[in-house]
Amino acid sequence: MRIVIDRKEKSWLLNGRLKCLWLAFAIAVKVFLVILSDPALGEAALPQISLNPDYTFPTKDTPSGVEVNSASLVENASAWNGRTIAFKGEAIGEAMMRRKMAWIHLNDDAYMWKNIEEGAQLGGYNSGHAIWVSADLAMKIRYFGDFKHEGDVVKVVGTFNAACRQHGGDMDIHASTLDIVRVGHPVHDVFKTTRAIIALFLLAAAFALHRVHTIIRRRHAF
Amino acid sequence: MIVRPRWADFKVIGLYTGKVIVGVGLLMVIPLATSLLFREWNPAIDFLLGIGACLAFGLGLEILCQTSRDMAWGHGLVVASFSWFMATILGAIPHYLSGHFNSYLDAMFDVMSGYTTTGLYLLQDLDHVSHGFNMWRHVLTFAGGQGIIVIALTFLFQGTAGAYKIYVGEGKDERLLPNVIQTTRAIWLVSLAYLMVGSSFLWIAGMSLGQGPVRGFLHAVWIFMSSWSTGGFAPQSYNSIYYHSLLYEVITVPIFVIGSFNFALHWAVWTGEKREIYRNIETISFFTTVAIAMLLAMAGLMKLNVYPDIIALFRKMFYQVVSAHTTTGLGTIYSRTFVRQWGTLAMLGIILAMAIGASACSTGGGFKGIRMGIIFKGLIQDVRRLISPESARIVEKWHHISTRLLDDATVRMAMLIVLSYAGIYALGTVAGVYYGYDLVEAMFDAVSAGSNSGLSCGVVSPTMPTLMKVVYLFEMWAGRLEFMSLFALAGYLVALFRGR
Amino acid sequence: MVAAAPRCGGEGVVYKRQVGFELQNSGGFYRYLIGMALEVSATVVLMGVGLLISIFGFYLWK
Repeated sequence: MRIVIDRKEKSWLLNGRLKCLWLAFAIAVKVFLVILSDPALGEAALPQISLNPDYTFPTKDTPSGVEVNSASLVENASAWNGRTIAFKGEAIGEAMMRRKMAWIHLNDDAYMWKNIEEGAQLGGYNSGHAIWVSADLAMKIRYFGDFKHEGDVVKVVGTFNAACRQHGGDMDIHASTLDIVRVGHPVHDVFKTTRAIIALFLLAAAFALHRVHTIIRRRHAF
Repeated sequence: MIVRPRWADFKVIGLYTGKVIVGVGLLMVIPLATSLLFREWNPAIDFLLGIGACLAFGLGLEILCQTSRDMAWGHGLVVASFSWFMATILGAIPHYLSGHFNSYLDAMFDVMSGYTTTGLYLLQDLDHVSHGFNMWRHVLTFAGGQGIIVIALTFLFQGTAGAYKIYVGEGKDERLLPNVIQTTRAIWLVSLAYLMVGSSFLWIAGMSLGQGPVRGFLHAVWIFMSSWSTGGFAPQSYNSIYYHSLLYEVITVPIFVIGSFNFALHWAVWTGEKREIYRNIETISFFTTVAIAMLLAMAGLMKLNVYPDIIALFRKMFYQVVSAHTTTGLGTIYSRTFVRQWGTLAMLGIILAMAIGASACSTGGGFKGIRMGIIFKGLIQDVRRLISPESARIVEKWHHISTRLLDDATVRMAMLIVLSYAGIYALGTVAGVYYGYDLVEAMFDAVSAGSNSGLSCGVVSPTMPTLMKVVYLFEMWAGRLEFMSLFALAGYLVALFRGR
Repeated sequence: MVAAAPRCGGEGVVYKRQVGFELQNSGGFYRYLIGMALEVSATVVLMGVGLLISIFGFYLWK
């Protein structure tokens, strides 16, 4: 008798469960809609992100075309949004040509003027911005920074976008002018002979150990 | 009575650790070849030095510890954690020699971040590193994603019973095939097949976006290795922002989502069990928690009116949430943007996504979807038991490759591991708050390290306090090896001193 | 043990299928391709969910 009762209860749960699920889902959607449509509930909860005073931010006296560094642009992005600014940095990587326009990346960090291989001090991460500029202006850049090159230091003037509509929300600068401040150069990396000798020594030791290992393994097997 | 480990035990551990270190040394040949190809002589010397050191150390250990004993469970776990530790120390040699690090600890942090497929880095001036060094960074994530033990198992071990124990010690325990060596080869088959397909697509995409053929190829291979292993390293400091392309995002998202799937799931789907893809508890759990995290992030973004239109909102929100949830760590926004534009609510959504993480036996981290599913079903089971008559027998079933009954031991194990993860997240958060970082920012980076995600909101930096670097290193290691190996190693050390 | 998946005496997820790298017949190779395509479609479904959530949020909030 008991088994029959259990089975009936279980099947009741199964049928009702689906209906309960639909009901719960409908209630959840309704509650969510109520919360979303009520402005008072929404605005009281979260304050807007305030300005970071440790980095520059524009005031009403800030002229158009003022030079800003990348850190300030990121920290106070909404304040700088839409303003015309100047940005200077080392061109790195490559220019990615996309029909008549191009993407370049300018770094204004501790490695802008000299590479680490040339003796620059370690000064934190790379920092910079992406620039959307016309392809002919981008073609003025001769050297791009990488391991073997220190790139051209370039200055652009353009509009900063905190969330560019044209580029899927990217933070970028649409540049209208581009000037080369300092031409880049290939970097000469001095060959480190001491290290080469140590490396050879270690490899010789490894080879010797490999021979010993093979002999021992053969002996162990028999 | 705790049994003190004997010399014979150390010999077993030493022998297999030596084999793994030799494997790491051989792995360095790939970046060496890249450096030679691009005529980067100093990096090539650094790699030769690294290879020499790894081979000498590994072979030396093998010679000293020659034994024919096979591994027991304790050995397997200790080898897994110990060899990861030694591989971090030795793998950091080329890093430190490159001159881009403040200290050897920073170099070790980067290597551990690579092996654990985290993606946080302390490397300075990434935009000026050599191709060989970039190759080493990305090979580290690819190798770490598969598991450096898995690599050693594929080529250097024989198919002994002990081999399975060391495989489990690395945080995987799915048997795809009867022999664990065959299992590791099956894992390689899946990864290499996707490597060829994914890199080709990315290369073509890169060239159509304006990259040159050589750089395009290198970036394609590197971004693939980073996405598949859910690592999060990128060849430029701009990470995925560099490409400014919906096409690149659309190709990399499937790569890291698929990379975050359980290898057993891959094998099941690839060998004919097509329904597995939607019946598996991990897939269902993943889709559910991604949707919840996306809702949270979307709410946070809309409140602050960050993005002007749907496409921008979708592209940024979706990429960051899915990157966080699969614990990849590739980002299409700057680190500080999380704090300065996205705001606290959206950050909480990302933290939730990172904490939960990817699938078990995959390249991802976090609690793992399987545990979320098990705990949820366990909760349902308990609720049903509460409301049913006492004589009723309530059973829940869960499906992972095969349908199983949910028992209390399973739920308990899942909860214990989830608690351990929560513990390391809390440890990292406390360390951050102690040093003066804001609570949400500290939590963000701590969860990122512990779940091996790699998104950062600016806390991780070369000027971070040393203790925090050590805490994060420990978090990454613990999170990747899923605690058991670490507990075994700690137990071994205790037994050394207190055992009889 | 490490994950929560119970293994009863070693079966669990053991497959009795042919091992590995030797793609003996094209049936195997095509099966792998179908598997890949299936996994990619799962991601496309995920993208669809994301798009729906974005549309839902954007229009309801504005």
